[in-house]
Amino acid sequence: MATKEENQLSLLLDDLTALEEYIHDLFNFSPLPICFVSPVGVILEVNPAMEKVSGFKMDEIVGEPLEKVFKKEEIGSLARETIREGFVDGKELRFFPKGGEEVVVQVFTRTRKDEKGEVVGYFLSLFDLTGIKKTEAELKRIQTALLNILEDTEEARRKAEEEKDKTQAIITNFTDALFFFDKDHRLALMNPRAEIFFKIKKEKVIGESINRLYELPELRALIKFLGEGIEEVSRKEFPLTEDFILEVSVISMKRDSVDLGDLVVLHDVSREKMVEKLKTEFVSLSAHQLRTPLSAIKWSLMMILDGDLGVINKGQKDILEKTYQSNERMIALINDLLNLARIEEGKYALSLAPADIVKICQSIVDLSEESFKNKGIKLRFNKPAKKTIQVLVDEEKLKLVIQNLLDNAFKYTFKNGRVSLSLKEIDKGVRIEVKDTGMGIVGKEQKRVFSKFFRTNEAVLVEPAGSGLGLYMARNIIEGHGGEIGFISKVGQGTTFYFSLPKEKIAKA
Amino acid sequence: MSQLLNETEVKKLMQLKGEVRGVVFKTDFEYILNREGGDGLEKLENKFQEIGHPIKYGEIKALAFYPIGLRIISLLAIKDIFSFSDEEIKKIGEAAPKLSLVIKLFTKYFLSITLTAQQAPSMWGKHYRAGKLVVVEINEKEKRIILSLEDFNLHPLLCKYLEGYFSTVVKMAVGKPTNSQEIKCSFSGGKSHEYLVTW
Amino acid sequence: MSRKILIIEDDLFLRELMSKKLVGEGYQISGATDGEEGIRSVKSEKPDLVLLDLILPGIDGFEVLARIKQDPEIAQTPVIVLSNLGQKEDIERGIKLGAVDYLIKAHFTPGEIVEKIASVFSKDI
Repeated sequence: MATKEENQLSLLLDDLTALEEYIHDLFNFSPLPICFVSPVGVILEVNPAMEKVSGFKMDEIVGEPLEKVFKKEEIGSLARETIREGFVDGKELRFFPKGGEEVVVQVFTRTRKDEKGEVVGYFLSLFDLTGIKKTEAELKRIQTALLNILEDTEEARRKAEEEKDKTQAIITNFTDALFFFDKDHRLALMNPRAEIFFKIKKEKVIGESINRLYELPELRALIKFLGEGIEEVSRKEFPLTEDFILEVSVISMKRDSVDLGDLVVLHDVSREKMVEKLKTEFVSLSAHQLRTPLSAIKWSLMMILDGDLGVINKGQKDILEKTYQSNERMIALINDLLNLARIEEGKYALSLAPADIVKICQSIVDLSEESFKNKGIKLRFNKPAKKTIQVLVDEEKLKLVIQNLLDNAFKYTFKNGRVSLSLKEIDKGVRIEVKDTGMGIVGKEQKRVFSKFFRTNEAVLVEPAGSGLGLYMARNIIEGHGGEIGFISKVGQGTTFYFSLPKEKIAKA
Repeated sequence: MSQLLNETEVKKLMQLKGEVRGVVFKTDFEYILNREGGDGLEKLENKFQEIGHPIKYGEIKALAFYPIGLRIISLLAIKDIFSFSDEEIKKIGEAAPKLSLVIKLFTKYFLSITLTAQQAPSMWGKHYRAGKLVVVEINEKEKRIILSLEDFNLHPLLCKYLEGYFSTVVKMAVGKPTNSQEIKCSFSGGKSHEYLVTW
Repeated sequence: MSRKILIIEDDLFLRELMSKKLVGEGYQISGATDGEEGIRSVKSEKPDLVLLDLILPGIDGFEVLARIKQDPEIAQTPVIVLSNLGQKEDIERGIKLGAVDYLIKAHFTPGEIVEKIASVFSKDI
């Protein structure tokens, strides 16, 4: 009988032991820190994970109150809530492990009740939030950084929008017509002014290719003018109609050698052209009106002096000759004023075209040959190495300059003197020199030589008829071509006038 | 040292009346394991073998009852091998309740010292089938308790051990540091062992 | 036989001066005061040379020149433009329309003009 009891007991004991071991293993296995706490807050048991996280060994922490690793107020309220509700799920508390820094943990509790329903204690588990907190902090940091980037991006976008709006406003309100062709030569943009000039709505043409646009009557002339390649051009005149003249500039837009397209700007110069035309007409007419009476005087005087109207005595002859000279001066002055009026207008006065500078010089030399010969001055043309040199010039005006320099050389050089016209190609362009062995220009007067209406006293003595406008005009013309003009002179020895025309003005041969 | 554990002594101890739950000296082994590591444990196990009562830590059944002599031998062996002082023996006693599975059965009573005190005799009984534990006095206000252990004259070494033991049990109930002292000892003329624990 | 020269010029005084000079050189001179009259005179008188001013009442000298040159009857007549319009374009236009020479009145003395006329005639020979 005892044996049976003993057996039963033994079996029970074995079971108990097995159970004990199971519980033990489970408790010990758990990677989650778990402890068992008495209702009054004394730690009664801890698992290895709890030992690890708290830094306390079992015998150091069992029997200790929870305040050993938690803040009294925090754990107190947690304990009360546990006992009241039966559990707490995930409350964040501060945890103070042995010898370490406080960490934030998430605490879970669950009460144990006896058969009567009395709380006999509670399990407490915690979850180290350090890692999570770190990640949270990191995330927050990233979030802030992203927000900053977003703000910056917003700012940049807003600025870009502003810029775009500004640009858009400029384009829309620009008083010149604007076309923009993309890199494939399709029309990408057209402003309201362009719509007005060409009497066509942009919706009809945006996106179309050059070839397609050529077919439209409103744009044909323009497309023809621009050419299929839409070459770069600066301020070229384009008459849309007889009375409507546009000045066209084509700018190739590139950024870092990437072709972005071409911008075509059309500036209405009809009025300027009209003014120019009127001016020219006025000048012409004025010349004519002024010259007519002067011609009559000239002819009359000359005929009298020639004896065509009868014999005159010496006294009469003298006075009449002086009168004649005066009249000639007047005629010369009118000529110069006329020329000046045309030149002073700036860019509208120079019409550049390719010409052979050698030929130009030669023709002037040829014209002047006889006069020089008659006066007894040796005239020489020092030709350049090349037979022809192409330049881009306003031929009429350039001739005026060379003629003027040669005239001056003629006027102020005496019999047996020498005058040479030299033309040579230089690195920067071409250079022309008119050298004489004449009377030279007085030192202190040299500064004023190019001034309007200026003539030195010596010059007036030698040649009474002179307007004082020749060199003023010459400088205007040469500088208008982008060149430079100057002189070297010494009294009694001679003068050398020179000017250069820059290379850009030299068309490619 | 070995005088403590010579053959005669061992025999004498093994003849003492009473039984003890495996958990009691299992906690000794655990303490050594924690403190002296696997090597220490092995030394202890070897000692047991030496004296003719081989016990392996893993084989001790916490809830089974064993001859009470083993309990004393265990402490003696420990003292012998590791040259523990009496204070260190007290420490083993302090550690024991924390490690004890049986104590865990009583955790529901750790609500208050009074409740715990009420359970004290029962707790004792579950560990030792020898002697009787009685609560002489409880004064929660003054924070003191006096426990009396009667009919328990096994070995003076146990006195120190129990000092530590009781100190922890009270601590677990009140959650405050405790002080424990044997104020009366039957080995020195007292009727029983009386322990005063204050907090 | 002396040559006939027609002067188409609206300024009376100038015409008189020129007339006097040319007569003095032995030419036969006739005149017209406007373009229409001028063309009529060229057709009827068939002069050996025409001195043509450009600024005329009614149709201008360029028009007269063009018409003369277009009319096969009189197209052969050499025309010297004698004007005070002196711009490059005017000169070019005159030459292009068929004028044999273009002289600016204010720049040439009567004597020089006579020489120019003589050289035209000498080319004929």
